[in-house]
Amino acid sequence: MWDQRFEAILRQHLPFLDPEETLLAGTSLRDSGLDSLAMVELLATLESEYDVRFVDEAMSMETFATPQTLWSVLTDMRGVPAPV
Amino acid sequence: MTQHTDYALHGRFLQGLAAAPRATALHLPSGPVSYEELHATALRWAGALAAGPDGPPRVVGILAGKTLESYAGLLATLYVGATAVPLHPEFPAARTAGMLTACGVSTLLLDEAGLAVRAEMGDAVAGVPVFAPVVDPRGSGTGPRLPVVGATPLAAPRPAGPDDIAYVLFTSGSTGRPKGVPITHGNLRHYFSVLDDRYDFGPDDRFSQSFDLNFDCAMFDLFCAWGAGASVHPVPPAAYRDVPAFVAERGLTVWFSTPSAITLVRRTGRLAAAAMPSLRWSFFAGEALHAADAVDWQDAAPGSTLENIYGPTELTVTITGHRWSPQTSPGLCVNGLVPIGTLHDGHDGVLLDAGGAASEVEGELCITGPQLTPGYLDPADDEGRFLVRDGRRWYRTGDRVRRLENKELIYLGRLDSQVQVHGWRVELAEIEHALRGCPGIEDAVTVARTGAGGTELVVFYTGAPTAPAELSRQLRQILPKGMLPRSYRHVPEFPLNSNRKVDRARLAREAAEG
Repeated sequence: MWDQRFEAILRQHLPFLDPEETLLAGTSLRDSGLDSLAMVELLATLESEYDVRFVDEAMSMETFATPQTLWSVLTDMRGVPAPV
Repeated sequence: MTQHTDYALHGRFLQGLAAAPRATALHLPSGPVSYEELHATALRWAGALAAGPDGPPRVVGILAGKTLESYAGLLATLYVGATAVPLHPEFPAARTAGMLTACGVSTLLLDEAGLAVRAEMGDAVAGVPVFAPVVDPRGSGTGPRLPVVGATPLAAPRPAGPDDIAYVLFTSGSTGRPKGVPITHGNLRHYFSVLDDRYDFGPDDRFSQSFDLNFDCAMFDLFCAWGAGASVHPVPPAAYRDVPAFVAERGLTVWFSTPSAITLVRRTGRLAAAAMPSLRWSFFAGEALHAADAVDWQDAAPGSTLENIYGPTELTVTITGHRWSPQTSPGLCVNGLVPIGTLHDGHDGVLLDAGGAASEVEGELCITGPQLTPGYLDPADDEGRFLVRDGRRWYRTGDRVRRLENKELIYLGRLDSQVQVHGWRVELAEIEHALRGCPGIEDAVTVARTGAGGTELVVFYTGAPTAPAELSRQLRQILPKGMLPRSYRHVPEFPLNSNRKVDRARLAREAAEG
């Protein structure tokens, strides 16, 4: 599971997700309002917050599909094994 | 036998090929492709297209991202004498299928993403041969396929006449059905001759390629660069997190994008003074350019000449231009917007007031001249969009424009309910039409507001309160991502104005207030 910081950053880019609503591992980020501009900003924020650099190929719809897919790519970039 | 490609759009690529055969024509994420290589690939693909069961195709639908398939596919289509229809793999499959049917597509040219969309289309284009030269070079996939392996390359690119259609692009239509806009080789010949006189592009230039290929500004990037023997650099999505770094890495000299890129560079904290010293030219189109954005970009790219260029698809990419001057331009701005400048040579413009009379000062901008489309793909769409005046056919832009004292034009707003979101033309009626088709929704009104990232759409709807994520999910099946609203608000009923009509202005004010 992801950390608090990740959830807080992510929620800022999900206008359709109610603050009271739980962010699930499989929540569709696009359905929750993440558009392509927001995706770039989110990427830039995550990179500076976690001090990582996403490879260009990671900037894909698959990476940004759900909180789980994004968190797992992020943990890969940090070189920390993703918790199961 | 001498082939005359003088009139052809692809003649510009041949010009670059002659000037700089070994130079880079296209720099993909996988690496550079030279003029010679790209030419050879396009001839080979054109030969494969010509060898289809029904002979050379008339119309090729290119459903691909910013991959080799899009660029070489566009050239191959033009080389074989067909009309290109560039399509976006991220658009909903049903919408794309409708466009393919409307344009009478003969062959589909696909990359990996395009193949996936093709699979979702079902029977709509079942009999149309598929050409996937990179993913399926042997043509061994299911359904009718064209192989590239074993095909004889075309001996030479075919010529084109001025009335032949080079490409068809689709724009949002108020009825929910996209409108096809054909542009001829003759339209484009005039367009690029104007640009050749206006700019000084040469073989050392390196062009950004930010626009999707179904957006006509991409034609500017490709054929300005290729006409000069320069290179084209598709901008990968990840590059937007640090645009100046990408500009520096590639040594770009020409930047062209929608103004929303300026906002993005600012929001990612990269819009610093002299951050992009390599740029010689900066162009913005597709949305109104704010003076404050022009000022900041000019500071970030101090060695570049900045232009605001304007034009609807119907008038071949762009039809006016204003060259920004840090000294004089700020004084010309109206409502904080940069002038769109003067019309391209060879064109006439008239400003019509609400009664249809010509005004010296302000009105709907109507234009005629050699860049004007011969008319929509479906003649029924021509109704109300063109007018005959002085024995000539004029396009009604639907844009309310003011003529400044120095004769330059400045954009004031739309006459109808069309808006531009990140460069995409959006008919608000199309979104409302789509929403009324969602279960539980009775009626919907869409308004535009200026958000932190540019123009955004806000929906007010009546009927059953529905989770915004659910509405967004449903609209995504029908509308391209650029048209998706940013906010959905349920109201018990719409406010009415004194004429007992829905008070859109009031809703727009409410949306703007947040």
